[in-house]
Amino acid sequence: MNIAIVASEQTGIGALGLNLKSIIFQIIAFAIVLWILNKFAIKKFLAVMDERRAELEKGLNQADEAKKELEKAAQKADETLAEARDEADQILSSAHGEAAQLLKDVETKAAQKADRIVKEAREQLGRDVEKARLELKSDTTQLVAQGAGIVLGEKLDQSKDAALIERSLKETK
Amino acid sequence: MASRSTVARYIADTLSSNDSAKRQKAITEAAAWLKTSGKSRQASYLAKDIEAALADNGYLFVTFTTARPVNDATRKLLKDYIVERTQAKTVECEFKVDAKLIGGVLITTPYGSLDASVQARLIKIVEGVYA
Repeated sequence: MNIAIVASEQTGIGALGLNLKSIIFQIIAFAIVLWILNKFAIKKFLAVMDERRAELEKGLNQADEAKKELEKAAQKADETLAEARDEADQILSSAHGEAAQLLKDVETKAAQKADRIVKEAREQLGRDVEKARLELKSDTTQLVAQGAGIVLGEKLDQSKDAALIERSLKETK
Repeated sequence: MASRSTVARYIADTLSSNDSAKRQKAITEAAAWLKTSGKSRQASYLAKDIEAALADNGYLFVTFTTARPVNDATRKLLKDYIVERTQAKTVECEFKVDAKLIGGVLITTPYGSLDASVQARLIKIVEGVYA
């Protein structure tokens, strides 16, 4: 009997030198290890991996958003620059207009002032001429009166003068 | 600070009184007023104002200017003329000589002047010719 079993054991798997029980035991042990790994290590590893992937995706999203923001900022900067240029052009144009107006005003004022000076000079000249005419008339009058006075004075003595005074006083009464 | 006319009126009233001490004091006060009010240059105007105020009180200063000195009869004639015209109680006369007048008389009072000189008449005639 024993010889038969030994013979049979030496056939099949046993002939390969493998122990079936040992294989089953190893399979069970491997399953247990696999279960333990799955329970405590692989799930955590996968969770960490998922977390890392989420972070990476988030980072990528943020990078995309930052890129978009940058593009938006660049666009806004271009728009602002364009507006600034337009505004500068307008200011420059306005300044040119104001400068021209200012120049025109200054020219007008200068012309008015010149006219006023000429007018005042003419008026002053007129006054001076009139004053000179009156002075000439006064001087001539004085000269004629003096000339006549010399002739009359020679003919007037104290008694004639007294009579003249008396007559003058009577005329004024 | 009193005005010049007020001061002149006060001085004239004081000078019209018979108190010589008050008169002297009034003159001093007038000088003090001119000094303290900084109107020393207006002394001649104050004198004229006093003359006018005195004239209002019946005390008249008159200046007669003639071409040559006048005799007493003419002086009396001139003074009587002023008394008659102004009804002044007292007339103080000053006689001056200015040959430029040629003849006649120029009478100057605080109220104004009367130019009855030959010079004035000649000027009027010549101006009439020019006009």
